[in-house]
Amino acid sequence: MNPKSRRAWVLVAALLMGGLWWGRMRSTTTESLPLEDALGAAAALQVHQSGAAESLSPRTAEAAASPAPAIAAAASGRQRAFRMVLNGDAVELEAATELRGDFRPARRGAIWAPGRLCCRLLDAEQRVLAEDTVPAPDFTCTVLDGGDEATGGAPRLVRFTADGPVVFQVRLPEIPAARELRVYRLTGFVPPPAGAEPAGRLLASLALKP
Amino acid sequence: MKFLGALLLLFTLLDRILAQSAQMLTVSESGSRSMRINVVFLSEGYTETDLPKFAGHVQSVVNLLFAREPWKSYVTYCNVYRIEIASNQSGCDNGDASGPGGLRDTYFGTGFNNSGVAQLLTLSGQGSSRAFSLLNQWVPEYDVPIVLVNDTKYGGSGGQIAVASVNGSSAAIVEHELGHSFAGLADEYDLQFAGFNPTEMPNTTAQTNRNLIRWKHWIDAATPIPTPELAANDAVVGLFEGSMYRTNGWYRPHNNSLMRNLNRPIGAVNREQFILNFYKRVSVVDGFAPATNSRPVTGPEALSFSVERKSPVTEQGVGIEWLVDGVVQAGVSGTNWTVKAAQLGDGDHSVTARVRDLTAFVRADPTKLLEDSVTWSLSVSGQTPDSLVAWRAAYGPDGATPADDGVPNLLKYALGLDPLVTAGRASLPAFEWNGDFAALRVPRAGRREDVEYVVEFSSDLVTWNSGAPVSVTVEDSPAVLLVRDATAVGADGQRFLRLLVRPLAN
Repeated sequence: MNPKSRRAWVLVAALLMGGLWWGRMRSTTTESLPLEDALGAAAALQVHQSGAAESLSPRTAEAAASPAPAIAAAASGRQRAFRMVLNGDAVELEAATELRGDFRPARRGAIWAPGRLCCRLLDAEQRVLAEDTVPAPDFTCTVLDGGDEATGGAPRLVRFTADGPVVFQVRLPEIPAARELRVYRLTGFVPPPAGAEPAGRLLASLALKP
Repeated sequence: MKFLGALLLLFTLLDRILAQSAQMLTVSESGSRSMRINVVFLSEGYTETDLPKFAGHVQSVVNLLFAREPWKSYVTYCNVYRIEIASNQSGCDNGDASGPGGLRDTYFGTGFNNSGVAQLLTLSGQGSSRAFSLLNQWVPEYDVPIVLVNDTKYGGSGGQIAVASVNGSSAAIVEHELGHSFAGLADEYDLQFAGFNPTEMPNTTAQTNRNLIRWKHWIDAATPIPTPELAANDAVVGLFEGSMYRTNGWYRPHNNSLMRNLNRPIGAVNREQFILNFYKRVSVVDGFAPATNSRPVTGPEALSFSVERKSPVTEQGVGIEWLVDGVVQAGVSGTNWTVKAAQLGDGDHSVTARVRDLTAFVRADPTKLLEDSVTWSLSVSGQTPDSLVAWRAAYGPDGATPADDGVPNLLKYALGLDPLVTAGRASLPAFEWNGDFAALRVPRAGRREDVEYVVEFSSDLVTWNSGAPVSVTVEDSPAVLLVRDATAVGADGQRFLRLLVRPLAN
């Protein structure tokens, strides 16, 4: 292939790739998408018309600040997601990501119950800055399964929990002073007094970079 | 040719990479994300060609979930979104599309036969990470994430992210798993499993004293404790032996609920927990006006307040009470309420809108999760009492003249004048001509409802008459009462006019 025709091929390829890239990106940012059909009589969800347009791009702090019933003003626009891997009682931090969105203010604190993990942010002086609980991804679940085609619909016991390692994520407020993330496996459903250790087992104490 | 081959390879790789860019679509949205439960579906095992089917598959699950309680009644509390991401191949590992033992190249790496359980369909570790990344990017406010797998084999799993195949029966697995992950419920099966550490949960207990059972408010007095495990008792809330992976010594509230057996009703105790958990996340109040909760009120003014409430699809609906200084205002239950500042009177006051979901599905709400309130604090001044009773209490009897200006209290009340300040001539009733007719103009701050305003006419200051046919009311607005003589005054005639203010009997 002579240099002139090679340059031509490169140009054609670049144009093709550019066109492909533009086409793909366009589908994620500007395509006009129809709202779904009505849910039916039982599921009469009201469709928020303005949602159609805003649904086409990720939520940003600017977008989150939009329509404003006054109570929503208390909502926060920024959180940090900690993604972890749970393997038995071992926990590893996989990633920490800054989130921007229309987060609700905490109403009545976290949900305390066995079968959940408590995640706490602490500062350098071991003070609790924030906490939340998430469902433990390895919590045992066994149920009579009547949908099993292999049994012809006869219910049989099935476990619907995956073996570890399993990935889970907790979202906590963005707090610059946070230096440590603790993870507990809860055994009780009474919230601890402020600052006290939760009823359960400490699984991990993960150092966070300033 | 090598160069062309390299270009082709590069082109193909780029296409693969770009094919895995996601888009998010709104299925239904009933409010801002911070005010709603956000349900998010993610596509798995859909190639670019398959993706148009995803919307219909999502709709099927949505239709099933929101046709069942408590989701049915609280459908307006939820937003539903779907995130579409293409996979390189259809289906998942060990599914109908791949065949047993077959592996598929899919975005979340899902597969059946996890831990040897045929219908246990789970995400790979990398798949879970990818799912969270997409959620973080598109709907970081997610509450109920569900990965929907494009394979017709029956199965699913629970955890923080529920997984279900598109088999028509798989959505029931999601419904059950949300009992754990969303409502904090335990399984109600009475399997013996020594490795499990039993514990008290919202729907499990070792307590057999009727008065101490956590869900005693749902147990009829006639229901025996423990309750026989009979099909006839399936609709009864009681104390059925067997739960917490123990066949005895631990109890459950329902004989055969969704937390024991798929495709069963959720059960009253579990339904209550779901609703309490809705309200742990969102308030029954969506918004309010005015947005400022505290302000001074320095003069006569009508103060208007409003709350925007959620609307569960229940018979009982949502109730609203309005309180002033903590006292419920009788007969006021709308989303809007207006009160005159004078009714509040001078001083610091609070106006509160108390909103509560009145659903019969919740009988015990010790921390008042189903309730929320908005309070406005008002510092009120420059008001005068708005009833004669209050006026008398503040300024003395009707004939008193605290300002020593000759204008009695009752008249100042009727005209809305400050009782402690000398009344100016312009603020008092005055004679005027209305054409050829003698008339009396009565200015007033507002029409008092507990006194009567009567303009009387006389020719001799002895006999006074009022009303038709003696007089004609020209204007009777809140600010002015103007009454004229019915007969024109002659050249040599004389007419006298006066205002009579009379308290109305309570």
